[in-house]
Amino acid sequence: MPHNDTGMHPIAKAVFGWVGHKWTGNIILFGLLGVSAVLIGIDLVYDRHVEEDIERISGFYGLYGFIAFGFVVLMGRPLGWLLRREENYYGDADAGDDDGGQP
Amino acid sequence: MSAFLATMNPGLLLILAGVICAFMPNQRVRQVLTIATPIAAFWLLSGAVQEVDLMSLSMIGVDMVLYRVDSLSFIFGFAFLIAATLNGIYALHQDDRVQDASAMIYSGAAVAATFVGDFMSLFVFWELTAISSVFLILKTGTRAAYGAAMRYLGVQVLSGVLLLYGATQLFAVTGDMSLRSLSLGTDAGTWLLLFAFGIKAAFPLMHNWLQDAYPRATVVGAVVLSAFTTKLAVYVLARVFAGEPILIWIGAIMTVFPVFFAVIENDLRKVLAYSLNNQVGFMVCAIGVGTHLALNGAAAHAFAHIIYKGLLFMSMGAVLYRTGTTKASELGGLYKSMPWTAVFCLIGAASISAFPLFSGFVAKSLTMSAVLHEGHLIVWAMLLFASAGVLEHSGIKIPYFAFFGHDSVKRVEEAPFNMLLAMGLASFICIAVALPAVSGFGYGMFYQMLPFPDAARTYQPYTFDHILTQMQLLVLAALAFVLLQRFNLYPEERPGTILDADWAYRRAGYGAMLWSGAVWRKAGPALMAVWQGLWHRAYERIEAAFSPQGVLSRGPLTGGMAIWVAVLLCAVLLLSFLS
Repeated sequence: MPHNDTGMHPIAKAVFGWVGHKWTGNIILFGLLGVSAVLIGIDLVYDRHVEEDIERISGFYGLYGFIAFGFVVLMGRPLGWLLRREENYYGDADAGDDDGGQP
Repeated sequence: MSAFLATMNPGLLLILAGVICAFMPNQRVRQVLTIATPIAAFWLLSGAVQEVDLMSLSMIGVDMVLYRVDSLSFIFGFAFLIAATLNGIYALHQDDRVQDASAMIYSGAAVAATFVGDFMSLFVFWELTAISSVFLILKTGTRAAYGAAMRYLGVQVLSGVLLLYGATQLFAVTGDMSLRSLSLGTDAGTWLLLFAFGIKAAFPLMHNWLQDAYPRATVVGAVVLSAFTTKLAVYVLARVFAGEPILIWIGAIMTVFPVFFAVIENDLRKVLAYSLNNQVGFMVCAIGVGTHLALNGAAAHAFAHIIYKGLLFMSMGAVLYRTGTTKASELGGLYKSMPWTAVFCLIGAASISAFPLFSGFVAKSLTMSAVLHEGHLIVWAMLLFASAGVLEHSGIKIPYFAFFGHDSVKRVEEAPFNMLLAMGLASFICIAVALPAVSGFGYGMFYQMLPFPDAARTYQPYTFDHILTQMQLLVLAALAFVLLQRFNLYPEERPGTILDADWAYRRAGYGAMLWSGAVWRKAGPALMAVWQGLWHRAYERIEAAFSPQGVLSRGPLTGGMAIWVAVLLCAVLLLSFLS
């Protein structure tokens, strides 16, 4: 399918046209905040079936996901500092090699 | 179906087609073979009588079962055949005899290994998967790919050798070579077998062949590789070591540690390789738990994973094919020119993240419930942590940095139609097996294929509790991503090599070998001169003493020596009488 002047695929405009809008970031953020509030709110009033006591904490799964995700990402910088070396550290890359030198 | 076909291991059909592909110059014929053969193989499989030895022979005193189907092997074999068909479609654009043949023989070896009933046959196909698949890495044609391919081959062959050694030990003690459930430590050779399976399943510290080789493979090669090797190991673990407690912890560790590597890795195909490690961890853990629910979880997860991981590798392969890179630092904004690929990647991402209505949800729920039900609270917490990690690296990082995020201003063509078709079909399966309450479709049909369908029938993934807790986990984790991005706390994607366990042999081991070589080159001649001098002097001394002209041969020595020996003997005897 031909692209338009901006190099945008027509399908991209139809499916992802909203992505580049200046309010998109805020809509996603506040949308997620709203959905999170609803999910935890339901948990406060709904009596879930639980197998372990820790699951009884309202919003346990949400809080756990939030903290786990944050922890993993925040570990990224110190781990990168500790483990990242130059691209050709093992000395096996060809000149101008990228992605294993895919032809 | 004829009697011969009914007893033919479907993997052999794929291997035969692969051999024909190797000598077939006509691309059209190869294209037909790569797609039609897995479909024909499924037709064979669907007609197989289960729980019966359909093809067997005796060789060098060993009873070999070349074809046997049961509910556990069926779902793995079925998933492998679907993957082989999708891979055939995905590869239609390329005219490469070697890759076509390699992919077919490799797929066939994995399918054949799934349906054998003894360790000796398993060993043969186990090694064939290694030898046939290495060409998918070599065909990249770079020095880096060559190095990765050789390391891959070395590690895979080592796994086969350990398998053979373990199996022969077992046979020597029990006289039984059949592929069966074993107790770790109690039965002979079982630790060797566990190491063999562990290498192939990429257990912690044995895992780096995967992150080393898969991202170095060709566009099609990485997709093909992602489906078979590790899942074959998962199948064999489920067959041989189901319920071994050590696997619970190995699996749990496998789910957690790759998450940290994936967050700092820049190459998105390598991120997928770490993600593969993490997903196999869930399966290994479920096998360790070993209940019917857990084994259903392992099999369901393997099936779903083969499809959605293939889909993710396909999407990254399409990106690599069009842009020449999968480095996150060089990508972004590709949704503008590759929207279909972006949509399919998002479906793969939703599936692996276990969003309700996607395959990962109905598969992973089984494992999570089984682990919690058996009271493994810490392990369950580790798996839950890893689930948030999956969302980070495969659910968000892959699609975000490739298709959205910072616009790299790369404006390329959409992926070729055959790639889109393969991705579309994979996406369809990801959704089709997860739909609730659709007659002849959805998770009900999927669960019916699991090793223990009765246990599966009583399990309900779409309860309000399940959906609520899973959505809480995913939505708040996604919220964490948005907040971290907004406050610039998400680590920047930077090029580089991330050190992992393979440093031990790629740097330390290789360095020690080079150092030893250098030392020997420099000190060798001097050491040899010293050694030769010592040897020469010793020889001269010995010759001076014992040769016909030597000291001991002169005069009445022989008689004198006999007298002295007699005197000494008398002295010893006298001392022993007196004491």
